[in-house]
Amino acid sequence: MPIAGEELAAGKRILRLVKDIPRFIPPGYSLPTGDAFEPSTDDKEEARKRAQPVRVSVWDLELTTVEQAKAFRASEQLLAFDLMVQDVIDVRQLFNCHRLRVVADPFDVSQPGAYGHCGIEGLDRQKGEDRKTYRATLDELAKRAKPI
Amino acid sequence: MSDLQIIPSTPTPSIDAYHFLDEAVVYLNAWNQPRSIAETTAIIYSQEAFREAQEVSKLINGRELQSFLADLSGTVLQSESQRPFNDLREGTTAGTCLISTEESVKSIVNDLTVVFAWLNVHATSRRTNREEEWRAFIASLANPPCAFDIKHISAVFTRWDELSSYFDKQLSLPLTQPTNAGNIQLAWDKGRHYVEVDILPDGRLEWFYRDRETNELDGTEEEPDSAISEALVLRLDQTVW
Repeated sequence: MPIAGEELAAGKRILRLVKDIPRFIPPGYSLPTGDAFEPSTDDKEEARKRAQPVRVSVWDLELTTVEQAKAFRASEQLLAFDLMVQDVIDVRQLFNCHRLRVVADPFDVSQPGAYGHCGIEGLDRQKGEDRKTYRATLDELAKRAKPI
Repeated sequence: MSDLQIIPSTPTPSIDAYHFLDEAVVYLNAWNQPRSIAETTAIIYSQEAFREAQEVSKLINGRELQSFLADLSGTVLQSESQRPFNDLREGTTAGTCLISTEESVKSIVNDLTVVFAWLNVHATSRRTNREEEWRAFIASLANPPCAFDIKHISAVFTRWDELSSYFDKQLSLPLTQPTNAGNIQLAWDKGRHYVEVDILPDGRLEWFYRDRETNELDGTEEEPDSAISEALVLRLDQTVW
């Protein structure tokens, strides 16, 4: 099992699952948008409970398949996107966002794929952090993520 | 009493759906202004609005709306019959009615808001089919699973119409979606230029612009905008065509 909190290698490919909510998508547009990487209220609450940094849930595609990851949220309609850990590192450098990193956050359960759970840290907007730079960070991540 | 008069300004009913919608927006905006409920002892509402809405509904073959308006008119008349006319009513123009309880007024305003949203969706005369589709999508956000407040939805239409009024050409339709924060987001992505406008439940705007080549950024910071800014119009002009 991966060590919780350990940063993922740049060459790893990660999966992000996003709830398929109602959207109007004009011709020529594609998902995701920056909102796909914005921590939810649940993400923040989870971090508070665990006394850990806020993490946006992602999966290590070497350890978890898309189907396995989706099985953890079986009741929801989900959209799947992937990007490289290197992309996150590039965005960190581009926007000087030192907190941004992908870390292992394995689920300690027997369900297949549980060990591949990870989190992107540094996507919660800090007090006083420039909103425009924050939105730009989310936008850049979204541009690098591709539907799978 | 004067600050409570919310009466469409046109003396003769118009059968133009867009004209009616403009009046509706004025009416709704007036309701959004904070006022003391305690001071709200009387509200004057023009029956012209009902007649006009009925004309509009005929124009657009809105059977559902016609039936709704008939019920609504009945409610108003019932309310009127339950209270003796007084000096306030005598001081108003013909065709107005007095509704002096806060709850009944609130209820009618809520109902009217639904009418206005309905009209926005169905008044087709000057809109493209694609924009109609978009408006129908926005209206559908009032239903589960999103269940946005109808006033929030009306605010989106109002802001859209305001934004559109700044340009000679029709705005290209934005990617539109609910946000984690409970806002409704309109986003234009034209490769290099990206603009997103989040419309808050109270109609205020948070927006963000990015030139992806130069990383030039613009937009609101902590405080949302309460009106459409020149900067937003400029950024949209760079992006939406």
